[in-house]
Amino acid sequence: MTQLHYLIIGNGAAGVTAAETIRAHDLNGRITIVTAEPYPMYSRPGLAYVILQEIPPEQIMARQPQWYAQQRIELVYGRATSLNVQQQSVALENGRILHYDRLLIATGARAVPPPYAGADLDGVVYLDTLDGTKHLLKKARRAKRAVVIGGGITAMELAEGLAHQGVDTHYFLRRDRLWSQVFNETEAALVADKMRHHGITIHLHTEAAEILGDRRGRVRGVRLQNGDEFRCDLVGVAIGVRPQLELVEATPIQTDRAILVDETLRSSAPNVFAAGDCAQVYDRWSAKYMVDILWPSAIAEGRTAALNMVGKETLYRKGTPFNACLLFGLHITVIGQINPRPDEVDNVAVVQKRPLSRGASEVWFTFPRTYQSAWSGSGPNTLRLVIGDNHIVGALIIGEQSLADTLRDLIEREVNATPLLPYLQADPQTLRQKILALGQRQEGI
Amino acid sequence: MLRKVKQLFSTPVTANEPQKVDLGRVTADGTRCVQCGICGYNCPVGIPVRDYARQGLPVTDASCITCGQCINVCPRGTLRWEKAALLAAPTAETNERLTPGGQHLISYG
Repeated sequence: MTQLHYLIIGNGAAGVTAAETIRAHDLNGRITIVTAEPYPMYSRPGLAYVILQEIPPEQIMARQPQWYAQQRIELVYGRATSLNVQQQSVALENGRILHYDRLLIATGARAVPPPYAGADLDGVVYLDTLDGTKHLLKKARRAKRAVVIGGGITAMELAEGLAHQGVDTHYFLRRDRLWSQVFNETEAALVADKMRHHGITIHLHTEAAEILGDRRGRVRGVRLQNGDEFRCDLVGVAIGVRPQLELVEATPIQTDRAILVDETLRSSAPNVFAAGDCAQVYDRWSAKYMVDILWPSAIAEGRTAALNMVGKETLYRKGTPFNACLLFGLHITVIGQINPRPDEVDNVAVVQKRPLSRGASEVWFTFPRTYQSAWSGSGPNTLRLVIGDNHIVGALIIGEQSLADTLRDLIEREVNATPLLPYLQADPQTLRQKILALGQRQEGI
Repeated sequence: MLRKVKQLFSTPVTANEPQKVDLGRVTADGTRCVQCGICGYNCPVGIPVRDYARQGLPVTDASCITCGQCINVCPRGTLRWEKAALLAAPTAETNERLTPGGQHLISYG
């Protein structure tokens, strides 16, 4: 049997999962991973816990160098700069040429810099890569005051981390509440309260127009849209991410906002696959190509791509978007379709043109038909259910998480939720019991 | 290191050890795991919990003292108790006894 060469560009969740899956199905194949970063695979979501000092930077290495050796995966440190789909080869920055039989592009996405002057100043930081995070930590040690810009999970994690580092942290929000693409007023107020308890100052309806620098090129403040100047020595930016598409730019491979791939994760070029944040995957249920900037999606896409690369035809079925996070000590889980206010049609149209934030799924921005909200009893706990025709299509849980797994299951399997409808306005404990009962009934079938 | 030594003598570990039999074992929902490694970092006996968690496998390492630290520190609710064969299921009551205010245990149980 001839030995196939599987070449994977990118050493993140999608790339490494693909390599692992290929090895499980093809013991003889040659597997090469090319990475532009000087580390074995690390957990990008784990960067938030590094700035919170929950773990030291080296702890987020999710694979050790020995793991690559054991799996007989060659890890090549270098940047892939060009792709020739006719010759089936990839060129690295150092001139090395790698030929492939199957190529997986899993280059991920990177933080978008602010779209105004001053983005290149010393003191503009991102929670994006391990090197960027180390740089952030170094800068935070000397910084006195920081401004954080961006509306999603990463921006809130960045604010929490900078405050934890002892920096006087100011969070700028363009709109009237936190994570306005997902949270409603109640949820946003609850998280904002926790945020303030962590010492963060929230500035609503505040937008930067320019980052100001001193003569030595260091951040000295931010100019606001109303013309005011706000002094700070650090600006944390998390306004969204952009898929890294440089490798395919000069090729005939079709792209839209990311690399367009079918349900087998194949791109428009033969033997070229894409997975993870840089892939825009066809979804048969919505008949659209969708981008997910979600860790579980990257893992699932990497696995499906790998199966197709080894010749086991497998269709990717986009799972229910799911994100669990811990912000300011609050557990927050977002499942399925979530939209804070069904009337915000215009806003959603705008959102889809902007970069997705890390931890986001395009499905979160689509529209349910009806909408319900419920509170649970004590503590800062909320539950919001989004009801479609006759099943739950989305849920957002803050605080106590005992319903998370059941709700994910009910949403994923589109279980008929008619028995639940009379109880949506009931007291929290009754609603909770009815949801658990509906989950158990399904298990029994 | 100091942190780990301290953890070794902190209440959860020592208080829980005699109750090992009640607990079953730690298991994982691999789809929740983001492989950050907080679990293994907080393990007082140094088990690489992440390697189990990311694959959705129960922690079968013989040195596990079932202290539940990994469950408590996971930011994504990946880990939970699992009833092992012939052992009693953990109840809300035992969870509460083991980790006072043990919301996470009950939450993801």
